[in-house]
Amino acid sequence: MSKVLIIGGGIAGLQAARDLSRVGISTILLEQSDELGGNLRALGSTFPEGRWAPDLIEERVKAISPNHQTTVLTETAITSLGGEYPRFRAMLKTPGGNREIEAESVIVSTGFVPFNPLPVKNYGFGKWPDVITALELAGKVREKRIVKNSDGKEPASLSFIQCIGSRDERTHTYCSAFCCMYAVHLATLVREQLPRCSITVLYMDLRTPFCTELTYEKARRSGVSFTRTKPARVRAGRENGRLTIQYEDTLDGTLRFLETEMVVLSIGAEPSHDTQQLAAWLKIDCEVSGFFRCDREPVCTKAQGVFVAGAASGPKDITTCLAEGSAAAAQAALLHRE
Amino acid sequence: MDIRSELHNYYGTDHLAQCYQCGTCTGGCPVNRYLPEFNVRSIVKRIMDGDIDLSQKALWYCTTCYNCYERCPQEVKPLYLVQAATNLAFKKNLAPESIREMNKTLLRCGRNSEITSVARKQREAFGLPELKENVSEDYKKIAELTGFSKGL
Repeated sequence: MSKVLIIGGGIAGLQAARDLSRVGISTILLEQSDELGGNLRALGSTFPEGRWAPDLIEERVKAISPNHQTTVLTETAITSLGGEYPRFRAMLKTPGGNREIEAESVIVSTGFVPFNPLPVKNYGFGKWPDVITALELAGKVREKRIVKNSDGKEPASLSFIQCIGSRDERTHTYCSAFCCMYAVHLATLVREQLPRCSITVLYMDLRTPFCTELTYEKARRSGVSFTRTKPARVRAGRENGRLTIQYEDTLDGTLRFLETEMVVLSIGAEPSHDTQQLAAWLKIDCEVSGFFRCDREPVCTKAQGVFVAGAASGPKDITTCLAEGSAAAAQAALLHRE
Repeated sequence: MDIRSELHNYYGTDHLAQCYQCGTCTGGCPVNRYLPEFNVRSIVKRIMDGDIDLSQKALWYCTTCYNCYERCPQEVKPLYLVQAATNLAFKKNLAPESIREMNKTLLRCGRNSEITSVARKQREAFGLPELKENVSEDYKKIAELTGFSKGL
């Protein structure tokens, strides 16, 4: 019997697996897709310090690979899960066939799903090719090829719209916490790669705590403009297809029309689709937001031996996901020692 | 009674606190585009702060297009707040003269504008039935009970 079952091979799950292997506790790490790394796989430079996402993944994958304590199962789905501490049982569907496993405790690190902005109609996402998500921009920045989808040329202007799928009664009411931070970071990266591009961030409240405030300042110093508003809509010119953002600058109360070649929607996070099912199997609760609820202590749930790490319990930045992965590993290790 | 509680009688103001002043309402307002003195966001703010000037003419510029209602990310329903403010302004006898004139016409001939001789001739030319100036008894009663006629 393995001692700890880790569900989800994103950055939090990897961190937990690495730390547990260091103290000699055997784990099984499950990943739905064919590769480890989760949402980080789509990213390049990450805030606040510009650490390279593929490196963050690789360092941890390397640390667990040669280690016999860790069994990594990719392309694996859970078909059933039950039991309680100190004996959980799971039925797995793997490429090699069905498999039953047992574990003493469980770490849930299923992360989040990026918000799909298709239901938000007034910004033309899905209709005009140069209205893209920040995730798509992050991919372009990583490849050092920031070009418009419409004509493959570099944009002369680019505008971020914040809070897409966050703080909105019609989508998700919570703040996704990381969008402001990644937006200011991306803005500085676009500035480096396209020094002459005019960059605007349209925000309602800019939330850049601790050292990300410095990134915000760096963005301002490099000439990125910040305007307090939530735009009413984005239009495309009938003939030239040029994008115009219509909004009120709420700081001086004037109506503005901003022509821009690229619109970047700063999308938030929503719970992974299997969250409810896992919560039922493991007899743990979810928040109103739909993410897992932590009770009493960080990373702990109401079920003994079930821990939640990373964005599975709410949107978080990478630094916090790493901290929670380590925290969950420590909790599982403590429980094992008892 | 403060103005927020007074407005509450016309339209619940509990969700007012949900407003974070993002400006989506004003950004999409067709009136603000031509008459910047009508700013839905700042009307909501003034109501939140309890110091709205009910005698301002701009309150009456709303076309009830419902853009702000549809787009508000916090479901504050700004349009209803503007309507609550005009209702209260009317009750407090603060409605502009033009609005009161229009309402007098409404009570007198059942329409918000007089039937002009030009209109009569045009209708005749189009073969449309003649318009009559008539106000039903029910309508008069409603105007009396709601205080509509009193405010004129």
